[in-house]
Amino acid sequence: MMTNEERLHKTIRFERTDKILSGPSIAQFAATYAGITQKEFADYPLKAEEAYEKTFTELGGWDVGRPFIGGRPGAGRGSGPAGFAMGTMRPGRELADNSVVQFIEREIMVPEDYDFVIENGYNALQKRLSERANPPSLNTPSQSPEEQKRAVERDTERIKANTAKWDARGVVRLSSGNLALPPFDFFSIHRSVAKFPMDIRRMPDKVKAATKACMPDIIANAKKSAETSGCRRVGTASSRSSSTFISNKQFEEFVLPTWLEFVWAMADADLDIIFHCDCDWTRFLPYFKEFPAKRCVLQLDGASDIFKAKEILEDHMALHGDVPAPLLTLGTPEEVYAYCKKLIEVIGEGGGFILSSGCSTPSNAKIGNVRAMVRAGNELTWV
Amino acid sequence: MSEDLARINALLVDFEEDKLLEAVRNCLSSGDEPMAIVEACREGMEEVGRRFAAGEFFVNELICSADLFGSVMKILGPRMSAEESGATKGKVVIGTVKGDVHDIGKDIVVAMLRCNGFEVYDLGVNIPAQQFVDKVRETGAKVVGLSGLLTLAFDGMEETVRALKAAGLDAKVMIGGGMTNEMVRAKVGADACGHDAIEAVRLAKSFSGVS
Repeated sequence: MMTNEERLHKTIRFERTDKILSGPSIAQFAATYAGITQKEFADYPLKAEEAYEKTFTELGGWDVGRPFIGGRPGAGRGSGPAGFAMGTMRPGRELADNSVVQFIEREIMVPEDYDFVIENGYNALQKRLSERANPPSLNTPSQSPEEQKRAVERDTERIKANTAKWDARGVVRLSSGNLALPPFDFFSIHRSVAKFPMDIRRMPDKVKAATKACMPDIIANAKKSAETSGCRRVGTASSRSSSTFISNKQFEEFVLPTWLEFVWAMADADLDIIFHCDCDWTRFLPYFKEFPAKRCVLQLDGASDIFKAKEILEDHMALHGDVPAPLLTLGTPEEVYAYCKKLIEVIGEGGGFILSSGCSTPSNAKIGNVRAMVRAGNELTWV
Repeated sequence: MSEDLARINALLVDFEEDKLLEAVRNCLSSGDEPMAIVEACREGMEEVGRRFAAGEFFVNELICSADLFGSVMKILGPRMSAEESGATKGKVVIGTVKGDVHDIGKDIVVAMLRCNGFEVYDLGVNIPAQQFVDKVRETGAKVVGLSGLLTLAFDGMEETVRALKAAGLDAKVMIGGGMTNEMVRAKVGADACGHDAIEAVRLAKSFSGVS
């Protein structure tokens, strides 16, 4: 029997496997399942890990996922997705105990920062924006430097142990953990969705030059992440570059060149690429044929037409998704199971498919619905 | 009508910021009425809406057009009478419901409603049902917009619709946001679901009985 690592490798390459992989994105839902609050889930890493383990075991398990690390971004704690300098509101603090962490977009980046990134590169800009969003003067640490160092060491050990535990269980990691954003998305998030569209019109050449200037660091960071994690797949994520927001012309001018540069650099380094694409990408799907064939996975969140994606991309790029969040929240187990069956039969035809939730499983999804999704992933996927 | 006034519509649709603002200043110098300039901009906004509906413009174009409209209004505002400034197609109370603090989609809808002549009472984010009820009662608004990005917003939407009905208010409720669809509309009991800002404007016009 194949391991899940082998299955994933073959799935991406559209080679024959003995099972279609299943990998719902489960984080905050685990708190709901285990009966603890989102506040507890966010504030107590070990409780969060217990909740995740309980959910995994009692629902019947899945094949693909990142090693769940309580207290990390995505596990409910609000330190912001990797590399974003965003404000956060957290359950039990700014929000009700059973809310989920939410990010607040504000104008952290100013127009002059385009010149700065052209001169100094992406990593320097990221550091500058982080310090601007969280001035050191406001972050007086309660621990001494030695205590902080020991805490980081403990955290690192816990992450290592947890990763090893999930690896030993055969749950394959989809990507290395680093999430590279196209510079277009990075700028939009930090300039704000209200300001960035006018920047593109007021100073298109400068914005383009700034996107290009980001690439050496973004590529180096992704390669480093793969090397450190030992995972030969890297992630890239976007929503602001989607066809919801921009025209084909803007996509071709401001996004595609840097994305092609990134993805081909990864492929040349023998790394596979996972695209996490939220919002509606349907109109831009033909562009994905410009990325290397049988080396990528496209994760869709339910807003794009995944059936159209299969039709357009055929066996060029594997697909991942996309049980919609509203269906998991408001539908019935029968409806969820039937949708999973349709995905497996239609998108899974000929291989290159991973059954999953569209983006994350919502914290208020019905337990019976999530159980139905996981059950479909275990019952209907054997070839 | 001055030559510049005739160009305003096209300049806005082409996002020619500098030329548009120069034309607005020229119009004022030539003696065009501020309200005539506002109307020309609104015609431009309607064209933006048409192109959005036709799949020629996208969210970024809506944001840019609203930005330009706002810049024009900064010039015109001080020149308009209280009566002119207050002229409205209808009143809309809008907010992101309790449990959700996302405002990007809501802010775009607010901007588009204002550009299209609605008086908008933007309550902000994480708004409890009672606050919607109080504002609708106070303003007499006939349209309520409930926004939310997360599935957690569904409960807040349902609670707000129920509270408006319980208070005997007959305002029509439209919902919108990333996860909303017909299934969600039916569940929360709203009158309509807007998939984008232009649809929200169309719904608000329809509910207010204006074209």
